[in-house]
Amino acid sequence: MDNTPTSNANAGDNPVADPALRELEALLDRSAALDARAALDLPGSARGRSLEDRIHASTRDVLSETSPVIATIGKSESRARVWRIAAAIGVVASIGILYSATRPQTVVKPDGTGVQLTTRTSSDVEYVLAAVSLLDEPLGSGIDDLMADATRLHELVTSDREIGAAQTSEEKPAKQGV
Amino acid sequence: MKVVPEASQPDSEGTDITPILVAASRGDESAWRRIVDLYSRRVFALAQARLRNPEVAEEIAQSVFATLAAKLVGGGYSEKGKFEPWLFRIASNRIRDEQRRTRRHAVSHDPEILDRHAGAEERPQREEEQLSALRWAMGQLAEADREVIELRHHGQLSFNQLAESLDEPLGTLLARHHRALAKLKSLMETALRTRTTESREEGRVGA
Repeated sequence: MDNTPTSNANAGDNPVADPALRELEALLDRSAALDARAALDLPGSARGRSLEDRIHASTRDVLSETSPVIATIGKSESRARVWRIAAAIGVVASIGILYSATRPQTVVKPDGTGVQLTTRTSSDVEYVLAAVSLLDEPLGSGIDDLMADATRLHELVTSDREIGAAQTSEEKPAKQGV
Repeated sequence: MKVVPEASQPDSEGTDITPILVAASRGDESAWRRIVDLYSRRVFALAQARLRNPEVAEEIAQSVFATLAAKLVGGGYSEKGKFEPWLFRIASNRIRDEQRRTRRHAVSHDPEILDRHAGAEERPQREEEQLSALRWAMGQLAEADREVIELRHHGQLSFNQLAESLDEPLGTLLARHHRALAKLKSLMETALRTRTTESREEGRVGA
């Protein structure tokens, strides 16, 4: 079927009264008709001879899909992207909180005699890991690896702190003694 | 699909498109073919007017119809009785994306491009000059003005459909269309005057 625009089908609702502008509209309709006919004619092509044949041939498979390919790709891609962003935020946040939870803190005593290294329990870390584990379901086993890494990191940082704490405690009296 | 059967929506040719959309959404291939027949030329013409490349315009039309098919069977179409404004909004967005991607601009006075139109050699010279000036003038129009004119004449939307598609009140849209036509006319006259002067000068130089 040739649905080439040859004259404006909506001429009935045309409020343009100026004859010069009406003439211009007629020229625009002719230009539109020429543009519509500019579609390549491919005689003998397997994809179809006319523009309509080719568009129909290239799109009918999409129509027969119960789960449209384009829609499925679009949805899953955007959902995966959201989870990737959430996971990235979770990793950065957990490392940040893990670090702040385990790093040694110096506190000036009220008597002003010196500093004391305070330690924190690992409850903060556990809290962070529990929060991160909420992402476990959508991310699958990836979060397990993440948690294992975070735990290893925690152990590493904790052991460093203890060594650091021991050295600092030993050094402080010596310095004060001098 | 969320097409409401009772929401009758005749297209520009008076065909009630709703039952066809409902059938197509159920996988009826002949209904789908009918939709392609009714609208593909108009979508193509809109893309061709802007991009001036029949191959790219066909790719755009194919991608618009692939999106349309996916939305029909996937329930993505939910606008009651506003199929054409919706379809041409998809097409306009796709054309705009393509323009941004390639930064391709219509060179409407390019004689090589004009020759690609069917029957270019058969048209009277005066009409050919007018069409050439018209395409040049369209290229000079502001984006918003050009869009109104192309959706009206290439997309063949009624003013009501145009107002729906562009999300503007009908009165505003009518005023915009009138203003755009007046600008186009003025630009065309300038183009035709310039060409006349140029050909006279060429004639003098030749003599």
